[in-house]
Amino acid sequence: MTTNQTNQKVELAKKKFSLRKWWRDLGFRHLILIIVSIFALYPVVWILSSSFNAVDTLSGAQLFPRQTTTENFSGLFDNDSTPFGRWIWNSYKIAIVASVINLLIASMAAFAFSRFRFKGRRVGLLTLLLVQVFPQFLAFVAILLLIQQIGEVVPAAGLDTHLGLILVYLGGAIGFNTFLIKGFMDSVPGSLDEAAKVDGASSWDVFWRIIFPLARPVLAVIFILTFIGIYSEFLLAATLLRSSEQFTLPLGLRLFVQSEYNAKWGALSAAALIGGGPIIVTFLLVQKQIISGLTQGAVKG
Amino acid sequence: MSSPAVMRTEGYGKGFWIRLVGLMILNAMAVYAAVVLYAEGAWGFLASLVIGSLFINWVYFSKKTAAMRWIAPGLILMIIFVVWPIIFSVYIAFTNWSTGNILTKTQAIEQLESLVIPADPEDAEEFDYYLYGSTDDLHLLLITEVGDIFYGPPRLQSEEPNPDALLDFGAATAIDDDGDGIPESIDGRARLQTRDLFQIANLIEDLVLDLPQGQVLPQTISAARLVVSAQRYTYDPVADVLVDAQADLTCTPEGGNFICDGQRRDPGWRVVVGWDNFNDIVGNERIRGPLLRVFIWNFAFAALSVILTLGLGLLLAMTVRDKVFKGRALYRSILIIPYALPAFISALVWRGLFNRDFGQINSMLEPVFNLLGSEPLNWLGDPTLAKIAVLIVNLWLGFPYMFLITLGALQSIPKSLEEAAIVDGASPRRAFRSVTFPLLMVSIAPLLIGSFAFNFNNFVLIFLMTQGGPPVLGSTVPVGHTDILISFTFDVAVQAGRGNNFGLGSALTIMIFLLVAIFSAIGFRYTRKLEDVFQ
Repeated sequence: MTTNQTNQKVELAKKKFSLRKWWRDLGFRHLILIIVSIFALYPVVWILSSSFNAVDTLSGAQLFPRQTTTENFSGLFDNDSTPFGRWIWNSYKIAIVASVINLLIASMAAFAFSRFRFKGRRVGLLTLLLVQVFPQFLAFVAILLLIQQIGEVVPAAGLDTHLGLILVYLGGAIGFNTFLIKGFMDSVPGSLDEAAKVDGASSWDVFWRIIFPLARPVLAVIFILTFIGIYSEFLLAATLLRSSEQFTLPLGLRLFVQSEYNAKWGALSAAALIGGGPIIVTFLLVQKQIISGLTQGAVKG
Repeated sequence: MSSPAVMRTEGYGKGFWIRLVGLMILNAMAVYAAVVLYAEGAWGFLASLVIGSLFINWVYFSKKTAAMRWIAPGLILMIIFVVWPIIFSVYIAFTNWSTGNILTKTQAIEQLESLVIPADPEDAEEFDYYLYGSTDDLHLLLITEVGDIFYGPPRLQSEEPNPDALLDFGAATAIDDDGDGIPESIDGRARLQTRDLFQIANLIEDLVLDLPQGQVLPQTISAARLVVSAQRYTYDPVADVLVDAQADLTCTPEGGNFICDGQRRDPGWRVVVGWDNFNDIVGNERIRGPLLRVFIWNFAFAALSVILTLGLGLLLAMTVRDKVFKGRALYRSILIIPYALPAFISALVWRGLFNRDFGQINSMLEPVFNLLGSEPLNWLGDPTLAKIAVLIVNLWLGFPYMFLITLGALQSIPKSLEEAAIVDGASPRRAFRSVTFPLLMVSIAPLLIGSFAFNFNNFVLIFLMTQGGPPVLGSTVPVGHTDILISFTFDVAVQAGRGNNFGLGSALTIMIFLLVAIFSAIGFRYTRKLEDVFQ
């Protein structure tokens, strides 16, 4: 009996001890991470739940909707005063066109800075770096007046046109991305190009057939980041675009929220899901590369 | 790196022909644009176009510019859309460019000279008039005592003015059989007799015949007022003065407007005004007061955002730092979601969550309100709560980034340093605080400065979540409690409805740039000191 009791006590003590140890080792970590995860997911969960909730108003929103519907999604596309489908189309069009050209321009410049030795190369690199210090969007007043003046000569690139906005976005193409891509190209041995040259390749062949394919994984990540950056850009788009038909998604959603918020919380959630879902998924797919890019910055200092 | 000094000069291969065709197209477009610019007299644009085209042709045809061919497209776009706007911003900041002063001086004078003295109908002379045709097809004829003839179809007063109403009476076929000077019919329309006129007496009072410089307004069935306006302003280019015929004044140009006896005449034109905009920022009480408030909050907002996000990010990084446990990857994927969701969506969704009456945050807190017997919190309508809400959302938006970079930096700091300190008798906490933390700060300091600069201009969050609101009551310029400099500037310069002040807006953006540059410079100097200490 007594031995049994002592045994039990010892076992209990062991268990207690291990629980405390677990808590000290891992438990509190899980607790912190779970609390912060709830904070991180809070709005996302609400977006998910409200977008499928049949009760469309903010006040009717519940975490677990009693009735589900897909009407919030379909309803977005047949409202003429807030042409949601059009905004999504505009946003993707502008972001894809601008990012593709941006990447082409940036990698061409990176190729020159990486593979050529020419007069003014150092000065050029330094100038590019210096211009980066001034954020382009701060010049939005001048950009507005410039595009207005351009529009008087070439209406297709004036105010309220996508071409004008894309051109403005391309102004920053040769900046930051050039340095990223140059960094990668520098790591590709020059003997590769020389071998190709011996075989009679032109510099365009070297760029297009050798370096560009090698850089594809890096370029894919840079493309995604550039795309997200342009897709989310607000200030310059709001400065240049005027009519709701021409709006990008950020401008459109703002109009939508201003015009019919209380009444259409479900619709806004659906819009947020359509507008943000693909971006989150893509981002999570390439998170390893993005994180390594970020931490490199931190480690290099 | 051993790379070829110069790429082999290429002959007339495929590349040459592609370049040739591309340049031909570009040059054709340039010539077209040059013609348009020449016709518009836009000399500045024309000069840049010519220089730009010559540069492109030189780069792609010369054999000495191998590298430039690769850089030119990006370089040209950067010069037009980044470098030029910077220079242009500085110029605009020194002008009065704003609603009311948008035109050039020539355009402004043209507009002023097109203005007329609005004649008072009560003072207008009355003359006999006659109506022709039928009620659906009326034509009006008025003959003055000096023999001026006005003829054309009148409209109703409720209708839009018709600038083409006046017809050429000389070209019409008028039949005047009795020779009294008043035709019995014009172009086949018969003159209406007194008896007919009485029948449409009500209609008559509503008729107007528009003239280029005035109106004919029938008063009775036989008499109509001739209201003729005169050109109000005449510009004298020799003396550079504007004569105001109505007020009988001579107006002199001063600071982008004609000033007549101390009064300003609109529209004005844009003109360099020197330091006026900057003086307004620091010296004009109406602007300086609100701006100071905005600046203080802007600084606090950026600093607090960095501190809060760094705090939470560091806590998380410490939590997962040197332990490999189940679910780490899942946690990381969850924790970077706020970073992955585009900020404009987050800001709009949080705005809904913080809504006073319908937002989930208040309904979640409802038990607390009931317990305390208090009203729901007016998150976005109360100055203090709005600031707190904005900071909470920015914490949500920014902590994943700080988590990722502090984790990366922590993993690069050798753990052995901390362990050595513990062997020497320091407590683990002390060892972290005195050894690892300073090293961490040194390595992430540049990123913190970057984060501060980013948040200092975090336009999307402020503009989409609160639009700067709630408004500061009793302020002379429109400004809100959560406005930061860039959102305030956007309102001043671009936002429709209140008039645009491009000059002041540009001056503000230049100020913002200088502030961020100064903060960054101080920050970098400070980090260099830190590095010196810890190396």
